[in-house]
This record gives sequence, structure tokens and C-alpha cells, in this order.
Amino acid sequence: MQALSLRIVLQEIAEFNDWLGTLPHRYKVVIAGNHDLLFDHTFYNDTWRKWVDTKEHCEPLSAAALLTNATHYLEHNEVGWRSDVEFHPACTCGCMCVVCVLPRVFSVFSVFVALLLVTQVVRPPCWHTHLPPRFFRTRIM
Amino acid sequence: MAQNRITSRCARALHVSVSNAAFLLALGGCGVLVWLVAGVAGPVVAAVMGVAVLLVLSRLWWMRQPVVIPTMTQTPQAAGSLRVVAISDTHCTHQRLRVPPGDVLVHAGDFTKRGTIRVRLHLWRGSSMWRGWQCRH
Repeated sequence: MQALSLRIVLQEIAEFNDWLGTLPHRYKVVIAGNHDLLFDHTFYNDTWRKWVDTKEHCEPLSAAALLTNATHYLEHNEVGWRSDVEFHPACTCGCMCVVCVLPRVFSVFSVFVALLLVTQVVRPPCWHTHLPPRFFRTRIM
Repeated sequence: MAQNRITSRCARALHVSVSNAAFLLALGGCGVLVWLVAGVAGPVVAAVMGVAVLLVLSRLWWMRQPVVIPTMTQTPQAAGSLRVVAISDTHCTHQRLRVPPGDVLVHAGDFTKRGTIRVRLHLWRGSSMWRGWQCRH
């Protein structure tokens, strides 16, 4: 029954991937959030016994591999875009593991976030995260 | 754009308020139903239950309506520009979205929910609380 529950979660990801395939956008970037638990390495490495019987069913990399229609799955990395006339370096930086108020999920202050904080002063990127780091621009626009 | 944003916020606030009111009234309606079964009836109770049913039905209707992102659908894209469409927190309701066209689509997380009724039921049935009750065969 636990493996069945995981299959349903994987099915949700597969349905989302199918929906991504129907969209006409040239680039499709996906960043995981705190509800996308299959993508959190730390969380599943610690608590996989509560979810599934065997660990090979809950590898986060296999969940990310399901997003075949997404051109980029960003996790602690960045990507630039080229429009018709201009190249936008580091336009989108994706990071799901940011310092957030949730105690258990995605409460990792990564080196990538620290580097982003520094590089944003030098070269402001368009920074996409699911949750902002604590004490850093947490005001919702 | 500001007008669209305000309209969207009002619609969202209305949706939340209607949903909460429907939920509370549905709970109250269940309590009143027990009261009715016990033998007490009245026009006020019937009216409250009727309103509760209507609100629940209205919420179900709302959840089936497509969600349109109006801010960029009304402004044409300038030539040579790069249009980034950023969405997030769709929580398995992406089929309802009418995403505006653009060059880059960014989904910033929470595309799954892990909380649909099916998933919650299976997680609850698969929890350790029922481990001793599961069939061994």
C-alpha cells in the first residue's frame, strides 16, 4: 500500500509532465517546491522509511527524470536565455532548498543560496525560488 | 495591469471567503441535520441548510472553472523582447490554467500536491498506525 501511494505521487508528476508538453513555450523551467517532496534529497534520505518500503522507489533523481518535457529542471543551478536580439545571462536561477519557516522540509541554507546573495549585488539575476530565504526579501509582492 | 492584479486579488479573496463560509456552513448543516433527525424542524434551519448546500455547490462549480492569467494576455509582446511566464503553486490544478504564451515558462514549485484525496487516503491507510491490521498475505 505504501508503494502504491508513491506510485500515485509519481503519477502526479507524470501528469504534470504531460501538461508541460502541451504548452507552446520554447523553454520550460521547473523548480521544485516544498510540496514536491519526491525532489528533496535530504528529506527522503532521512524519512523514506515512513513513505515506502524500499528506497529504490523514492530516488529524487528518478522523479526529476520524469520531467522529460521540461527543458530545464533547476536545483542549485542557473540558466541563461537568448531572445531574438539579446542574451540574458543567468536570467533564471532555481533553488528549492532555501531557508524557510518550515522546520522539516527544505530548511537547508545551501552554498548556492549564499553565492546567489553575493552575486546578486554584482550582477542582479532574475532569481526564481519557491520560498525566499529567511530575512531576505521575504515581502510578497 | 494594476487593475487586473486588483481584480485577481478580489476574486481570490472572494473565493477564500466563500470557501470558508461554505465549509463552516456545511459543518453547521451537518449538526443541524442531526438536530432535525432528532425531531426538531423549522424554516430557519431549512434555510441555513439550503444556503450551505448552495455554497458548497458554488465552490464545486468554481473549482471547475478555468483560471486565466490576465496580466499578459492583454498586452502584446514587443518585438525582440523575451517574455517570461512565471507560475507556481498549481498543486495538480494545472489543467485549469490558461497559461499566456511566451518564450520561457517558469514553474517555481509545488506542481504536485501530495494531498489529493486519493493520495491522502493511501498515505493514511499505509501509515504505521495500521501496520498490525494489514493482511499478511
